[in-house]
Amino acid sequence: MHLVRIAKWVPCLALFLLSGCLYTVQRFNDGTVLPPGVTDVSMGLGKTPIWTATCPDGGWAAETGPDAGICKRYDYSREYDPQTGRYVGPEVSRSPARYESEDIPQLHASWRLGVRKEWGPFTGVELGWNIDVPTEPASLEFWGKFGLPGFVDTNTAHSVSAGWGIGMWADNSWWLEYAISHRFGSVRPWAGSRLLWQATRAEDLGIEVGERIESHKRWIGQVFTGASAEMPVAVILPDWLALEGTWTFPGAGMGLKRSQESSAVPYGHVGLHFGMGWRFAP
Amino acid sequence: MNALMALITSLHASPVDSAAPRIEMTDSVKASAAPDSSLPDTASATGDTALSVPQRRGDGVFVGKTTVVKGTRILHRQKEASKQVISGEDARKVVATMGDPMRAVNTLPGVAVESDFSVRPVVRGGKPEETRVFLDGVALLQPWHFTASASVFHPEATGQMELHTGTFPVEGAGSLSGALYVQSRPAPVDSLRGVAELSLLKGSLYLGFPVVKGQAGAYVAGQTFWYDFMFKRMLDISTVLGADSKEVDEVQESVTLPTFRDLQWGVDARLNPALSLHYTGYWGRDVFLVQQKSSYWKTTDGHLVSQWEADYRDLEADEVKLYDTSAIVDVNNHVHSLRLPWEISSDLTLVPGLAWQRQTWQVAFPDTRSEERTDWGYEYVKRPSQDEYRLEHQALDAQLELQSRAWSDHQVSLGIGLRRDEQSFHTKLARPLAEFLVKGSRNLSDMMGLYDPRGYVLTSNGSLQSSSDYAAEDMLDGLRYDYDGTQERLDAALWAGDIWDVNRDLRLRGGMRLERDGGDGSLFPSPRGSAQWKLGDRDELTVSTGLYSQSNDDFELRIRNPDLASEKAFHGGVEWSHDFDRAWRFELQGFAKSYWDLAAPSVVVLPVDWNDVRYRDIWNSQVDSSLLRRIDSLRSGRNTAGLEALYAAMTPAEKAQMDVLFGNRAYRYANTGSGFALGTEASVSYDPVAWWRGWISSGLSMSRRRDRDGDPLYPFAQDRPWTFHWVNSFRMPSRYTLDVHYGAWAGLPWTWWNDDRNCHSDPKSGWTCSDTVLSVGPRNGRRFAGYQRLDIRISKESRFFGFPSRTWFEVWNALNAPNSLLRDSETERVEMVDLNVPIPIVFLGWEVRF
Repeated sequence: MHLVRIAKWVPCLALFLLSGCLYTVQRFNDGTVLPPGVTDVSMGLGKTPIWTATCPDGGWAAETGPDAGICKRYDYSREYDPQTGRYVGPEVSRSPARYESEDIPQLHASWRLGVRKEWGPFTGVELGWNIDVPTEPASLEFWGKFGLPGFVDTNTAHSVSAGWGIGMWADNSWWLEYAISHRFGSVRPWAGSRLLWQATRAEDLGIEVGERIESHKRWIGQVFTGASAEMPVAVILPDWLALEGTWTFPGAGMGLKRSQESSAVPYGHVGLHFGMGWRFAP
Repeated sequence: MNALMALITSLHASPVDSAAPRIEMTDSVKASAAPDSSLPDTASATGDTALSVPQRRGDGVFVGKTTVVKGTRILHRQKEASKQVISGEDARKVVATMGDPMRAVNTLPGVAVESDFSVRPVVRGGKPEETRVFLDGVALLQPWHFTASASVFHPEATGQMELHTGTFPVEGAGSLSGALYVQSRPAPVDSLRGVAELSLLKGSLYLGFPVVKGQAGAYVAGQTFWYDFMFKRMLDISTVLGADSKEVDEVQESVTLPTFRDLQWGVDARLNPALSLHYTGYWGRDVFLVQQKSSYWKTTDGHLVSQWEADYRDLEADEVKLYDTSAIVDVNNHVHSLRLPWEISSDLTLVPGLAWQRQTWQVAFPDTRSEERTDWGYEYVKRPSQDEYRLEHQALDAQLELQSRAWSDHQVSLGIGLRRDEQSFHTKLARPLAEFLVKGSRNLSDMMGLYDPRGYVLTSNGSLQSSSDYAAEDMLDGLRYDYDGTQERLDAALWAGDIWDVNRDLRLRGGMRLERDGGDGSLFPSPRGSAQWKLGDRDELTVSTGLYSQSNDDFELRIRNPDLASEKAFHGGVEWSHDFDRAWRFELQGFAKSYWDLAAPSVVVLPVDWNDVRYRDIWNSQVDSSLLRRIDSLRSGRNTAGLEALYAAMTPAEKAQMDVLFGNRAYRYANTGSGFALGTEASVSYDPVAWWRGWISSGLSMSRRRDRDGDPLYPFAQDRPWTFHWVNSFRMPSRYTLDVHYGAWAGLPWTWWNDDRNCHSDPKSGWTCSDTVLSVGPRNGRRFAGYQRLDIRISKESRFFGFPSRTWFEVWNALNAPNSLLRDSETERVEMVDLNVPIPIVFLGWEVRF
């Protein structure tokens, strides 16, 4: 079943590889900033839901408008209406649509590079990109991370990041993120939050000749927490492993239009991810 | 972007600090007439180094002079007016060029392109055809691949590229808007050099080697695009993930995406201390194939019929699936260029040159099988190709130039050039298709405005009526590009030029070129000149002017009008540069151009050819309906002889009506066009710290045309009123480099038109339509919304088996701007689509050098 679900996204992947319309959820941002010249390459694995709206009692569920998410049945036996040129009859019943989701694997990859030590008020600067796939179909982000001062204790680190995610024609996602962590031996737990000015999703675009490309941006918040563990130095094996959870609110989901999200994911979405990374000295 | 910085810092003259050592230029220095690959194409120096600089002309010929530069900076006055230089090495560093040096040129100030798809530079509001491209001094017939989506230049075999946007070199054939001189990179004479490059789009190889150590070298370079291969492998992967393998196989067998293959080779040798040889050869081929698979039923006696026909007539038939070729393109391009600079004395050099080029086009769009009634009955019949473009074009160039430095303050050149040009063509194409194939143009709306630049409306109550929609596509389809014949011409030119260093702060350049137009046999004097003043240590002022002509038009123009004269343009320009300090430099340029004698097209109706009557269901209320019914009957019966007899018996007025109704239309050209372009370009280059450098460039311009006296001026089709580039390069730790390019510019103009008859359903009478059949607004009276694009590259230098290598990761259009959807600038509604990068594209590449 998973393979079939993934296969459905293959054409999208081919055509709109990086026209991401949905946020990323896999962070692995522990608030630290890499020293200049050090690179970190990471991979992650989690699950993400694909949503479908069904009408168990029959009918048709509108995807947009005030009746979004309502299954409506009509009596089609009426005669031709010359005013509208249609045969649409009266509505005979309405019931809420049922939203069902199925989790499919979601992959993550990132690349980070420490580029500066102290710079202005910051303790270090790092550049990087990361990608989550599938997210309708993939979301690529670029960012800069700036180490913040304030802790004498070198085991504690915090930073602020800013970046953008590639959107879909109408606009792009822009975000600001804060993360903090404290090191306990080889384990480093972290927590953080992202404020996201989410790009217009493809589902909300109606691109046709003669139409405008409308922007439908919105604010989304994310809170994440996790922990990483340093691994013994060994060839090929990763230098660190991590487990992370991310809560996104208001949540969105693949297969849903914006108007359907409040019904399908009223409390947002929580995702759990496993990650690993390799670190390279200059 | 590195390229642009290097360009600016090394050739546009770097900042001059008053405390820095003065720069001295000595003119009577030892001559060097042979290529020396150990010397850089462009000179730069740091500290108090003395540097030998090989002086080359735009065609790559060493003009036999070595200049000694002392100090830290390049002399300002080495920069000619309106000349911008970019080395092949630097061109490879520009983001999102797909390994095509031409795309780097297109990021220079004053240059634009029609779309991301096209590499043809649009220079300062001129037509793409008005910029001529020279390879080693030879004006190329076709420096582009099919549809102009790539140039023929190999990134590694390309040396320096000089773009002249204002004052053109006197030795180059006439151009109206731009002249791009591309030098092939000299072959190494002392060591082996190889480069392999691999990306998702194409692969290239370069191998240069000494033949006689220290005296002669040769190189071979090849490149091929393989996105056809990559696309089909992606389809293979999709079958693993669930795609229908049968459908995938069908696509793979049916389509060969446009594939280009280039091979370039060359020899550079010093035959004796005074004589050297430079030979460059090129062969390129473009292939494109589209096939359509269809199902038929084949009877036992070999007829192809439809399933319905087989069932209806109860025929014994089996289903067969056949491929019919929908489009096939095969374009070959050959160039051979030989130059033999002979240093007669230290002050005199003779440069003979010979070149031969040939290109062949075989483009066909064979019709698919159509069901027709034959003696046997209804069956599918395969018709020979209806639309095609076949061209054989060759040119032989001979050139002889004498360069003298007998006078210490002068560099004088005298030359003569001849070009024999022969074309043989057979074309049968709808005009829009020809525009796309031949010129790479896709703006059909510009053609709509051709009928009347003020705009017009066709109504069913007017002279034209239509029982169906007389749509824009009907108008454009009736506009033909059908020619059959040969054309020969002999162009000749004499020229003289001088560079005069009046004093330390003033340099004058002057030249006169006398051109004999092989088209109409006329002579045209083409003078040009510039003056460069050094205004102190930080400022320089240049003024330039010139009168130019160009006549290497498409063969169509002279077929339609054998007396067509060459097109003319007058250029005037002024440039000011200022160095704020060692790290920041500002340049401001202004230009004005006036065009006249432009070959302006108008639409003429051709006499109807009853053998090739195109179906056009147009009825005219002024024509006798019984006559039209009779014609329709004869057409249905394919009675050509009857139609011709009927036509012959008509009155001239009736014939004219028939021509309008059933004849094709074509362009007629006359030298009635005129126009102007003016604008300003400003740029700031910076190199303030070791890890950051870049430049900002912007331009404001206006370009207008008029096809006939009395007509209104309309915006030129490639007019972009403003452009903006911001280029940054960040050197990062661990040998990483981050290159970022942001570009934004105004959209192109377009002509509004509407062939929607505004029909609506009426409950009583059914459908009713307004009487307006077609509305066309003023030519290029609207403008598309602006374009913006962000390109990012992260590259990493490393070693591969000890050899330097580089890997890079690029994202084109990283903001996913909807540049492929052409939106009107006022209404913001999507009106058309264009071949811009539609979505973010990831581009990976790797190269190794040895």
